[in-house]
Amino acid sequence: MTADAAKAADAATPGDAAKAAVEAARAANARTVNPEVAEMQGPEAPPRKNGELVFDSLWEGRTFGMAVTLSDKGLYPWRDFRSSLIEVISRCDEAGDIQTPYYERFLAALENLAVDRGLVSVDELDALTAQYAAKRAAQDAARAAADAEEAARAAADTQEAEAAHSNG
Amino acid sequence: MSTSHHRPEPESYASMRARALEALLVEKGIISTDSIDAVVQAYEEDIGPRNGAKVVARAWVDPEYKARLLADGRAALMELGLASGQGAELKVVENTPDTHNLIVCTLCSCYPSGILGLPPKWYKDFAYRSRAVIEPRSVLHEFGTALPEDVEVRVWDSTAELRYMVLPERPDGTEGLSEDELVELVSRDSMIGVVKLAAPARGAA
Repeated sequence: MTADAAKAADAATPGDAAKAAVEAARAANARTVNPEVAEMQGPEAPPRKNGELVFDSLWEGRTFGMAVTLSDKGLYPWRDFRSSLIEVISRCDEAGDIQTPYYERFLAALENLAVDRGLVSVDELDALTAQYAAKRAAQDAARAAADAEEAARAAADTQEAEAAHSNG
Repeated sequence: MSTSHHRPEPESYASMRARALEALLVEKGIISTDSIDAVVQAYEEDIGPRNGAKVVARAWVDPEYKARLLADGRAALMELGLASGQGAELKVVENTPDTHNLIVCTLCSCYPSGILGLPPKWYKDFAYRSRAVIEPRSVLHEFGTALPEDVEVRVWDSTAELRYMVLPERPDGTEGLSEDELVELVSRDSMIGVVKLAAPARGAA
């Protein structure tokens, strides 16, 4: 302990210590919201309700979270993401596209930037998305087949019961 | 998730594409699922007025907390692990049947962002900043808030060092509600003071 630190420790009253503990706890609890993200205005601003962000489905929140996390980690400054988003929106506008929802544009902007920065390649994204889609399709097909089998069994049971009834 | 469920919907292409992107970024060690979770939670909870609503609901149910909140806003926020934003002091001003409070920042857009999130666009507009001081009753009227003549209107001008928040009156008919339910009733605009909170519709709460 240095002389200064010892002096500071002597000077600190229990009240100061408690205050310091509260401050420390508060700092640990305080999560950082980047004002550059939070204060986006204009067509690139995320939709809100009573001031809160609105995610209509899980992937929208995850996509927002990915974009912010990558920026927080220093992989790109937020203004670069914002430019990427503005570019996607302008391209939609020029093409007269008013259908594509905000977060699909947001995802496209994130994908463009991630590819541009060499974080992922379009090929691996295409491949993994196709893999997920195939898995989904297989699950849907299996479910449909199970439903059909169930229906067939139910029909057979009914027939059997009717046959038993007419024989008896 | 809030998509209509009149028939089971297949996962959208965008959802699968987003999952693929996340999986690749995680697999490459660029980001972790946990860090995305933390960011989503922070932006869902700290970007809007929810923290302010929690403070208001606590003050409504706990008179001792309310007394501490009115005496020293900053310390009372700290009790709940909150801060008013940018290290500023916070003064909480209470609406009563005789007094209605309104906050403004005439010079720029100082705002208790730690508890109310982002200011609405109109809060930063020159029209609101100037008129809130000169003719607060007309401004309130435009927000649909009609006050009897004998109610005093007080306007509080925020600065970088001192921010304000309005403690709205607890609406009638909310006696049976829990603290969590009360949080849902408190709107951003009521904590700026441009509106009063209406009693919840019968049977809705």
